[in-house]
Amino acid sequence: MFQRKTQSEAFWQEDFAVDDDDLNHLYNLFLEDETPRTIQELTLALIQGRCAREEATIQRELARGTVYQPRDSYSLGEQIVFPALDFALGTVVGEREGHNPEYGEFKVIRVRLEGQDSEREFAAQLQQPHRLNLTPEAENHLLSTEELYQRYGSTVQQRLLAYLSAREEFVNFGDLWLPQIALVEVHIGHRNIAEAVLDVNGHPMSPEALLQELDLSTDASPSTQLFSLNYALSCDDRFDDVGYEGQILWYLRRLEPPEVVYPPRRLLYTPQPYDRSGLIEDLLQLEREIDDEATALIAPPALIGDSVIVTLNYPHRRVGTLPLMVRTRPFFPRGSTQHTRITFVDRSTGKEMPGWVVHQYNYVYGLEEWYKAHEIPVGGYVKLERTGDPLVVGVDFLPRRMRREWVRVASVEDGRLVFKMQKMPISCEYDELMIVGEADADSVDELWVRTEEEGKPIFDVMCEVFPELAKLSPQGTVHAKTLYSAINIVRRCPPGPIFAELTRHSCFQSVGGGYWTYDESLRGEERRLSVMR
Amino acid sequence: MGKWIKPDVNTKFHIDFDWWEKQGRSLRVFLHSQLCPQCRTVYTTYRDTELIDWVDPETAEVHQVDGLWHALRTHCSQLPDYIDERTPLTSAIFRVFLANNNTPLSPVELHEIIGKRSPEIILRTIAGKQVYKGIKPVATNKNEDRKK
Repeated sequence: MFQRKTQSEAFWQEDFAVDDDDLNHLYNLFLEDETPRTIQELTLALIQGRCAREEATIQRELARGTVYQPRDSYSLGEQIVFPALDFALGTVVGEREGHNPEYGEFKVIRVRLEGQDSEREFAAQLQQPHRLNLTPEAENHLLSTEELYQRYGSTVQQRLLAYLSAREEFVNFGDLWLPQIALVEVHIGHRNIAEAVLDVNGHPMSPEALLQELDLSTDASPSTQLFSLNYALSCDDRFDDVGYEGQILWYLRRLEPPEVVYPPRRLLYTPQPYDRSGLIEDLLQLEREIDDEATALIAPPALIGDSVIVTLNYPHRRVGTLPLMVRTRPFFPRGSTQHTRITFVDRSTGKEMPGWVVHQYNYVYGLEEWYKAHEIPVGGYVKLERTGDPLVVGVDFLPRRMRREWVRVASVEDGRLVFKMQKMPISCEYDELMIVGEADADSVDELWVRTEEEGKPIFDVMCEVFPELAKLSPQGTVHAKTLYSAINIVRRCPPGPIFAELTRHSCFQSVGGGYWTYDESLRGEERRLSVMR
Repeated sequence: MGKWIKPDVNTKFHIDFDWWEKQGRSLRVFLHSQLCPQCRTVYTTYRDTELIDWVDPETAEVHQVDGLWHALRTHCSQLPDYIDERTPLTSAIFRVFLANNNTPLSPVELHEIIGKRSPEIILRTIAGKQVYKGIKPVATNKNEDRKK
């Protein structure tokens, strides 16, 4: 059999590049039915087109002469096509006996190839098996376009996506693509009507519902009209898709809370490189327990139940948000760049509260008032529960009889964060290691802004905060979780970088059970990590 | 004739075909004796083997090659017992040159391929007064340049 390029891995993985013929093929597909297509559908169509083009080329080339097969005999002057030589055409100009004890009797034909002066020799009437002899079995073993897609589809898709993204002739909305020329015009008048409809309605609407309110005056297919509307609204800053995976819902950005449109600075973490190799097992375990949304590379738990309990940290408590992390993500609808509107249901009162899932920045907004109403402290446990509706999530705390508890309370003195133990009324369960109160939120905010703007290294922040926490304990020890919780008052940081600094510097000494001490005199010294392990 | 230079472990050697001619010995008879049993059933004699038609497995194009040499290189030398523990050192060296198309090699390189004896012993064996199977230093500028 002769090798088709499209049957080889090397072609798709190394040689393949989208060309103008591919583009024309995809254009023709769109012109046939004017239907937007996913990138997966386009990839499969491209592979089908390439295979069809190659087959047509082969058939055209083969029609020019006899297909060369070593087992066949040829006469002088006969025109032969050589598939293994890129379908070169040759004329038989001579023949002699072949000589090779290994092959038995065979002939050697002399051939002049088109465009070449010299003659070349090829085997004929060869009794030995040879891969160029065509067999029906070999032809039937060709991989189908679906099999090719399974094997090489991801590579082809990446290249196609890069190609289409760089061309203005194609536009996309999410995963769907359409040629620009096939778009139905959704002009400023249409968009103004859409804005008015949403304004009057007061709640998000599907593109299908919006389309009914607009007169697009077109013969285009419904799917093209929907695509055009979605594309036009996505290009207009007034509109925001507040749906979720597989469900588009349009809403007005100006009707959304600012914390949804603009991620609160309190939650933003700029990842800094740090060395995880020194993290000892109990710190890794604590990191998993904390499950900060800015921590990457943590495997999800095997089982997700109908409820989950989250320990509230300072940034989320202040902003009125919940983290979207490994354990909480399954309780909310999935999405990508959307701001999904949901409803929280207070399990203790039955009250409903609007909430917003900001997928891109890993948080859910809408609990500020609820935290205040129930006096949930930093370190308090928040319980999420599934309901039958993916857009409705139950929220609760773990109640207990109100008691006045000794709690470390943060305040600002002389421009520094300090802690004191004070009695506070608490009526919910909480994590003793994470709980922190605050005396004056405004001065803490000022200090936080200054710390963020100065870009002080996390180690320096630790060296300021640690002694303040240590003085609250008779042994002068501080738990790693407490340090994480306290540092996040003035600097947003997941546990990984904090724990890495703990293990790296000799001034921090582990005393077991997750507790550490601090020795100011060793501040400049770094620890040899092998000693820690 | 160039100045004679004493070979060392880095001097390149090869099979000197002229030596076989001068000795009145037939290299082809010897090549035939080196074939594996399977190839000997194909090439029953050394005669008429200088030019055979070899068919390219990819294109079926025909190229004329030396039959014995080709069989040794493409088949016999790929067998595990082509060079093994029992193969005498001089035969092993000779077979290395047959397999690599007589590309010149030094005792150090031969030692790396054969994996036994030291480069010094290999040097002493093939650089002595007695020439084994035509294996001799290559009289090339490269060898002479290296000496300078």
